Amino acid sequence: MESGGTRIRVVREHAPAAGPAPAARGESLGAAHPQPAPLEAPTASNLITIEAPMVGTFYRASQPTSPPLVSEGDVIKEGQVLCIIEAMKLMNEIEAKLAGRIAQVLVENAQPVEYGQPLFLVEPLR
Amino acid sequence: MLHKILIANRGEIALRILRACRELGIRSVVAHSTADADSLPVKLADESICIGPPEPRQSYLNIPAIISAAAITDSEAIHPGYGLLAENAAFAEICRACGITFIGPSPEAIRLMGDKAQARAMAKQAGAPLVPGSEGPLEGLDEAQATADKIGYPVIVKASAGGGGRGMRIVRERESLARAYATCQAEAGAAFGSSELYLEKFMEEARHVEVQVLGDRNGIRVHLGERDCSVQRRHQKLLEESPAPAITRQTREGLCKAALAVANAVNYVSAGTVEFLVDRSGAFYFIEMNTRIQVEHPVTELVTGIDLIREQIRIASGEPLGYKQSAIRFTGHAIECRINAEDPEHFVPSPGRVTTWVAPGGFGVRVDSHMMPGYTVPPNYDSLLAKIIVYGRDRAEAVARMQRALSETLVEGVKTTIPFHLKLLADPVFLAGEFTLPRLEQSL
Repeated sequence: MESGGTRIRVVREHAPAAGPAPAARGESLGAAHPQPAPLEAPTASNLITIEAPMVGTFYRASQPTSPPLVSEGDVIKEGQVLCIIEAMKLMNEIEAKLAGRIAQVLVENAQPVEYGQPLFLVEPLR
Repeated sequence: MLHKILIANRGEIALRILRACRELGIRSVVAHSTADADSLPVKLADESICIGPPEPRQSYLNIPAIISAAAITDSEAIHPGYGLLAENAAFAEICRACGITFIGPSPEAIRLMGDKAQARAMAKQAGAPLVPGSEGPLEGLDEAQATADKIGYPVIVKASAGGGGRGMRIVRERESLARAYATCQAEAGAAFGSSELYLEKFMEEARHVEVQVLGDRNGIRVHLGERDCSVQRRHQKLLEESPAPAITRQTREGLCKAALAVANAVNYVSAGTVEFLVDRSGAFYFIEMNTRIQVEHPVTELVTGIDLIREQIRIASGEPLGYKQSAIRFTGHAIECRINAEDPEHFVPSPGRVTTWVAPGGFGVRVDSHMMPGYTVPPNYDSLLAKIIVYGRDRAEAVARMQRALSETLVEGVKTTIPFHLKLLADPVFLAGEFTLPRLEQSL
């Protein structure tokens, strides 16, 4: 947190399990706003956050015209490609490390992301 | 003038660079690892971007991550600081290929001077005296033996891709050369990716005196005087000063002239340092050139009044230097002490949380530090906590001022090398200006 409006920080706070909306790039920290409850009933506390493993530009699909690789509500398998992060013109496929259901997509298509930035909230499947 | 610079470094030098950016009205972005997320440079920069986990390979040495960070923050230039990627020619080349201004010399100059055997050859061509040694890289043990026989023992075997004290071995008698040669080759291959070696006469009782040079894109080059960095432990500098004590005007002029000749020979742009050994008679010999800003640059800033980081940034934006050698004035004496988080007797790293930090101040005292109370020294990087630099009208005043500054510095939570510095500043050999490179190892 900092006072004054001139400082921009790309970093995100680690999203708590209830999943507030991400601050858009350029907003100061602490400007979180409330978010509708996750799709499932009160299992919010066990949501896993999938974070960006590298700095780059986040894309929801490998082509601009393709539909998103995953959307909220989708069931995903371990190893499934969830998104692309482009760094230095290389498209890196980001794979899920667990099976589950996408509870929330936290970033927008073509948004710059930094290392460790939360990308998805996933409800793990047993 | 540049508008936005990505700082691809950490700690005190990241802070130093962002301060220069702020004074020039340039936006600063600090690229940092998770370990440095709460550090002072990250807090003070205009923007920050996390590029990886604590391990340097995955963050500060991660070229794709840094280039990616520059791209997504719309940074038109990168300042690499010192260490890390500052002398990585491939990184400088990638910046150039991506249309990002690398604040430093060309990839060609970095590569040339990074090959220490080749750098010797360049310096020789430029007319600089060399430490007697091999002509370029050694072709084999036979050449090493022949060269050593010719110049006389003791000799020092060095890795061409090394530098900065790394990858070297002193050999005192003929019988030990073959084994030293083989070990150096293996170590160099593993550490630097090249097992190429060269050989020099080992000069006992020499002093390390280096010359700061600055060059702009129009081929204008100046020197900013010399620094004596003879207080070293295991090739790591602990105290530096300018001007070098107890050298004659003739030696000083010779050093500066030779340094400029070397810089001119490689069309050097930006800030760089040419290093020499000086023996008891005042004769000097080129050893290597560092193609980056150095840790100890503040001592030069204090005796010349020139902001070296600012000059680097101006030069990188294409501005002319704007002044000639004759306009540069040298006044007074400056000393820098590197305060490390280490035990002051055995220099063993002392990581931990700094619970108290009170920096010295007052007339003629400068502190370059990223310390804050509550700061935890991360184990993944070097142990430099702060650089305390003083200025005095002469050496005696500077020494006294440094003693005052060190005695009022308060660090709790980690051990520091301050007690060592206080002892050093009372050492009669140091006070006489006769401190030579081996003295620290001998007296320990």
